[in-house]
Amino acid sequence: MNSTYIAKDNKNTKQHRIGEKGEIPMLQKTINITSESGIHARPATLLVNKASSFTSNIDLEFNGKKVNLKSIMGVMSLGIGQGASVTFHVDGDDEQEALDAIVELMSKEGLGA
Amino acid sequence: MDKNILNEKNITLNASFSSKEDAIKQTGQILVENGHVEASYIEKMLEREELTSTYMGNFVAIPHGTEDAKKMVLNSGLSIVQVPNGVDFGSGNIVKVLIGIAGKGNEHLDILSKIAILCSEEENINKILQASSESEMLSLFNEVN
Repeated sequence: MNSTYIAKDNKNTKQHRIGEKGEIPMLQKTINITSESGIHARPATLLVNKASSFTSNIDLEFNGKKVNLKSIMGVMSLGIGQGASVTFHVDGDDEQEALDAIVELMSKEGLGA
Repeated sequence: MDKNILNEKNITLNASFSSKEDAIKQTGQILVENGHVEASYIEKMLEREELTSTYMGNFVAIPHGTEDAKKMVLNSGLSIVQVPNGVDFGSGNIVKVLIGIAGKGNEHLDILSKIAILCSEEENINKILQASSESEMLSLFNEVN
């Protein structure tokens, strides 16, 4: 049967809940980076601090590389610039709250949407 | 690292400071003396530190100017200041190596990425803290691609 389904929109964010039957689902969302200076040190620090306030595992994927969003060195190592497409993968008890908070921060700081 | 960005003149070993402000000023002064930034960039580095600490963990801080200080950057460059006894960066964070950054245009992302790759390995941090000559320090940074 259909093993992939899309959750209904929540708070204007389009998260896709993807999982095989019987596996623990995970939230993910792709965001386009619009900030001219990209994800440099300060926004990376803000993202890491935000991610670290949740218990869920949160990964950031860019250009085929995936890093822990709770690691400042990991996030900065990706060298994410304007025009990049990045994907957040969130998995855990507070995954919905975590993803909402990250998406809100990205938007509020003018990093991307 | 490109030799125009980092060379032996940009490295200071065995420094000691009584405050993080003094440490940041010295890190910025190296960038000024080597023609990477205008002198006013140093004030912007102190301003940036007030926004959020540039402490990155593993005894490393990466002081740099605010975004509006970009125009004070003449040529991309790094400065490295080794502080064996450490300097207090607040919140219980002790910094033993400062890596000052000046990025022209979009070069800051590539520079940050290389620093992050190097400093994410504890083994590399130990080598940076123990480097006993400028050339030894330089070679650690030059190994990063």
